[in-house]
Amino acid sequence: MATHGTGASYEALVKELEEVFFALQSAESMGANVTSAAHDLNHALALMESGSEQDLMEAASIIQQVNSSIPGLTAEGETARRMSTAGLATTLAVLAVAAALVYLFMPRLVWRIWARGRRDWKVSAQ
Amino acid sequence: MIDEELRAAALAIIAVIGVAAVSQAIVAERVVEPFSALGTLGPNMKLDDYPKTVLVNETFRLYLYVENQEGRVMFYELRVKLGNNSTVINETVPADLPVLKSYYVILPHGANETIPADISIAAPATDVKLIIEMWVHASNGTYYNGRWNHFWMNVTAPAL
Repeated sequence: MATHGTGASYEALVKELEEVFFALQSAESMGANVTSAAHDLNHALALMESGSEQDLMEAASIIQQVNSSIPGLTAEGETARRMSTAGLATTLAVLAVAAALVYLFMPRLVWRIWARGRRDWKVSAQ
Repeated sequence: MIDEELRAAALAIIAVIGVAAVSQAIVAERVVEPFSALGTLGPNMKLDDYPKTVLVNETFRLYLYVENQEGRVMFYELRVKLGNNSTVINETVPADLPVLKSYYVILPHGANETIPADISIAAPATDVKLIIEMWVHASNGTYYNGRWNHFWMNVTAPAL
């Protein structure tokens, strides 16, 4: 978080941070996890609040770091999304195989268990 | 006959599992009702202890609570403005007043933040409407998202 300050460098940094944020938002829409990057940008905003030259430089450095991390985050997000799709496909494939196995073997299996459970039974006719 | 019933029951169970897996995958990241929340707390972080009278240039503290349930990361700007009884503000129209101070925060979906806000007012006034508006920075521009808080106070000149 940050308060509004004055001065050209502050305004320029807000603008720069805004641009990086939009890139981050775009990366998120492609599946990137942006929680950590958002935290970093908030830290940059907090530094910008103080307004000292050193803090502004550090804020600028953080903004640049976040900006350079975006392609990596996007790639990770895309990988995670592909893995999720693959996981769903695998689940459905396993269910389809299970359905086929059930259809083919379940009655035989159930009857075998039923018969085994009554192995010691004696039948008497009255 | 019993064989067919067994098969049908087992296949029905498998079908239910399959449908649940697919629907879960589809709706897992979808936010049904996106919203942003704004709350203003007094100096003791309570909803009912707002300052009623302050001195000119006396700094008083408020806490601004922001919550993001929009389903995506958001860049909020909270604008503090000073109005009066005739100031118009509603869900679509922000107050047409200069910004006294702005507070910025970036929140991922599901996150919230309570921002300490130190405010001072430079001129004496009676029945001042202290307004906090929520604005959103988006790629198509910064816009007022219809959330605002306000409370009334007096600003008095210090005794000589």
